[in-house]
Amino acid sequence: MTERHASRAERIFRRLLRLFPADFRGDFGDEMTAAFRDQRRDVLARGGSLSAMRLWWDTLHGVLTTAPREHLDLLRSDVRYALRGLRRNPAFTIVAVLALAVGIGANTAVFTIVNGVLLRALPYHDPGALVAIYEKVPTAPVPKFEFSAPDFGFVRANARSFDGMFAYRNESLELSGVAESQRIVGARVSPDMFAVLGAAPALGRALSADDDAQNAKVAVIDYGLWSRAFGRDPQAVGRTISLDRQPYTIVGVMSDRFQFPPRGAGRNFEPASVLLPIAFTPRERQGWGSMYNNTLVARLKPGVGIEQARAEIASLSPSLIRQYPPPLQEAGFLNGLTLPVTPLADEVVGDTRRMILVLMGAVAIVLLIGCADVANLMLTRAGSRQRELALRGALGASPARVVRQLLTEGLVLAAIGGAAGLLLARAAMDAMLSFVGDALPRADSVAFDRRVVVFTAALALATPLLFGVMPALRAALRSTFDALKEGSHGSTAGRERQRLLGGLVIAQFALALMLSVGAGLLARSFVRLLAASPGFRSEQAVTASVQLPSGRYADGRSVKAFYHQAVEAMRTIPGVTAAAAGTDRPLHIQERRTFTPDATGARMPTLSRLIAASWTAGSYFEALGVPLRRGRFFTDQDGRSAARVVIVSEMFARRVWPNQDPIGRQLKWGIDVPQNNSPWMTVVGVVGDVNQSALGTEVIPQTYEPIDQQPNGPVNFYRRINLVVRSGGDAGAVLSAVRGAMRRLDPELPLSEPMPAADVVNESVKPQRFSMTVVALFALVALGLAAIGIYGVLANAVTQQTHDIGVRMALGARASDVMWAVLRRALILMAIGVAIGTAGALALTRVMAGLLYEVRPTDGATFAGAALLLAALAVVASLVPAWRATRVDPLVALRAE
Amino acid sequence: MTKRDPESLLPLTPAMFHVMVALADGQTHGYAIMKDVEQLTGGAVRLSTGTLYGIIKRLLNDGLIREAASAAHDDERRRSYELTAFGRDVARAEAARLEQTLAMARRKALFRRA
Repeated sequence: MTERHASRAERIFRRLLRLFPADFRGDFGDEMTAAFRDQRRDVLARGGSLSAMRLWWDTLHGVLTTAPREHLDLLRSDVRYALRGLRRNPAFTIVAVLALAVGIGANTAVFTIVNGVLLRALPYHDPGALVAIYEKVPTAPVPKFEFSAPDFGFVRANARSFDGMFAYRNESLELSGVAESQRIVGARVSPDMFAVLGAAPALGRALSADDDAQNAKVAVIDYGLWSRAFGRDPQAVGRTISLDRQPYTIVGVMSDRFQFPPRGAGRNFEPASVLLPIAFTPRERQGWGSMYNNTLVARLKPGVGIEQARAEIASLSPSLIRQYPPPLQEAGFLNGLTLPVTPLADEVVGDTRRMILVLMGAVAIVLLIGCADVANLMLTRAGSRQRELALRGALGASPARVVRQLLTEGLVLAAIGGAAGLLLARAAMDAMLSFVGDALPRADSVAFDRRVVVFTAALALATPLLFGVMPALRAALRSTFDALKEGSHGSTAGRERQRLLGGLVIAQFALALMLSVGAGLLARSFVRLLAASPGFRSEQAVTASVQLPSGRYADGRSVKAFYHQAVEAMRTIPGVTAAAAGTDRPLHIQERRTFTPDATGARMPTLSRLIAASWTAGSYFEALGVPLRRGRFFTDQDGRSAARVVIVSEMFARRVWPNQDPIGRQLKWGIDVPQNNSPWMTVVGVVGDVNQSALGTEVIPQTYEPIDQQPNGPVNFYRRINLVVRSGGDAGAVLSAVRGAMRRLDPELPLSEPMPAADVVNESVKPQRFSMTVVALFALVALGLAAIGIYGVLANAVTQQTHDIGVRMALGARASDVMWAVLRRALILMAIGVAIGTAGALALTRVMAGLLYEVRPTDGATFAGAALLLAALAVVASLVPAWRATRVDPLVALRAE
Repeated sequence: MTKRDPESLLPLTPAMFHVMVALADGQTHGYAIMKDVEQLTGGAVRLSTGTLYGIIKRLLNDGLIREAASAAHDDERRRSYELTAFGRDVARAEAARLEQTLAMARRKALFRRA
């Protein structure tokens, strides 16, 4: 009984000893057990379970305090040893640290984006419960659209899955009276916004239901505007600002954490500086079937999942359709309506997620190639260190100790590389962010935070496992005798090492090929994208925008007058060949309307008759460089009292009047019901198709009307005016002349987005330019790292085979033979790598399909190009080793034996 | 071996010093050291096995003790340790340092009754 107890106590004690490093255990384990046995025997003899417990307590305490210290001691000496080794081999150290710094740095930079865009929660209370709701009709030319006021009212009154919901829309406003007048982004929100987001103003109060009901001229401003315009003066609450030249009283200031809407990919996702009551007008409230402008955000009830909410809201759409006026229902308006619900965070990020995932893949490859480089270097070095390690073994270091030592060395390398990578990433981040700017959703929340640092540290801890384990295990598995016996060349161990190194080079080539293919695909797609025509001639044209504040330009008459004054003023600028004004900027045409053609037009579902529309003044098509296909442009005769005219795009003509001459045909706004008494407009011209949103996106049919023929009554979107000027002169000079002309018309009116039309086109492909450039950059780095890898391995092989080469040359081999032997090895490794990489790329690039424009992920030319590039790389990297092989002096090589 | 200055290792931790004092009378094995220390300090200092062997390793590394050549015990797992000449110097130096510290404290008002 006592015996068995004793042995069990000993077993427990021995288990405790495992907390010590193996070497320590080997040195003292038995002794400690013996001492423990004696001690326990005496304690038990003295008697009392209390003292036995005390013994265990003391023992446990002693082990737990001593063991970590022993480990730390060991680590310290290993680190010291590793640092000494690294200092002795500066070339190895520099290359390894650089490879790791680049790999870890690139991963850190991309993770910072992932963190800011995908991982960081939106800055609201319980943001996971927030969803965005849209309307969707299968026949509509847009994937989904926002809510009209009556639709919002119906859903809010009837949906049961939500704790609250609100509607909002972005609005551009002229801020004057505090500094130089400027355009700012605002948002009109229903007052529920504050409760639904769980956000209260830091100063003052939120917008109230009363504000909304009375359409009160009150505003809540954000922290940024408060800082800029009021120097963070707490007295700002209660002061008046002028928005679109109407006085608004500031009732609240948001905290600096608050931002709404979050910066996102879609419409209505521009952070607002000022929040105003949405205060739907009676006309908006009754606007069934029109003005689908309002994004709907809702908070799920606790315990209600998004699927449940989707099901519930899907059941609402039939009854929503029944609310529409009978004529609209009969016309089949909104047939097939659904109300998609998505997490708000997903809606904000949109398609960017795919681009970010591709970036992540690209940097992961860079890191893997970098790690292969370091593994190569360590293996090569292990060859020359074999004797040193063997000596350590002979001096009593256990295999485990040697593995530990080598892994510590890897850790030291990775720690230095990680620190350098962090600095590198910091520098790269700023460049990346200024490059992509507003095109990246949530760009404002991309920043270095603790999570990024933890990520980098984790990488630095993990990478030694990637590159250090193989060399370490090899060192451990080899018996020390083997190593001592092993000569410098020709041994089985040497050959085995060459095989391993070859394997690493193959892996590098395969990875580099995959990344090169990805970069190649994006680059080819981008070139195609740039070659795509926007539908207008951007060269020699400049554009700028103004928005007429409703406070001064209250009705249609004054707005139309401004259009004409602006065109006249710009015409007098020297060198101008055409000047015009239109609603919406090129590639930013947002207005969508439903039309009805005359009896000669093709029958089509109501919502596929949703088209883009613009209103113009001056020689709009000449200024923008849109070609006339048939008929004529507008003239001064197409005035208010003349017959209503319209110009349609080629696509419009083809769809509505296929195989007919559209000139002289008629169309009117609204759906095809007897109650629709909109005036008919006669088609007088057909112009080329112009892209409405961005290069490479789908073009939809469009109409143009003279602004002059619009009613004199209340207006809203015509106030946003885009100026277009064509001139042979310098763009900057023309733009400042335009600015001067506008200032003479209205000194307070700020000019926004002044730029050459070519920049407008370029900006529309900013996300693609960003991902293409970044992936290409990563591919370049990867190729460089792969080149280092192949060079290192070949150079090492030549050194190892100096003897063999010498023999062969002594036997009459020519220099070209020797050179070819080295090259051949490089090319064989390359060929295998390319074959594996091709398979990998075929599997992986499928993910990229959605990012490519007119290029298939299996594009043969890209694959061939990447393979050729790698072949060239293999040749270049092996030239120096090959040349060195030919310089081997047979006599010297043999004498070295 | 070059001559090392005993002072360079001072001050010792109390536990280390106790172990060295326990070894002052001759070679001893681990458990005996533990018992000795406990007795010498009247039970105030009780070393656990872990702590003791951490100290032994350090003393061995610093060359203050060594394994005794002739095993006084038949059980070969029970190695005995003894002070080296250098270890003896260090122990003495530490004792002197402690004495000085104590003398300094005595000269001050610390021990006079207020």
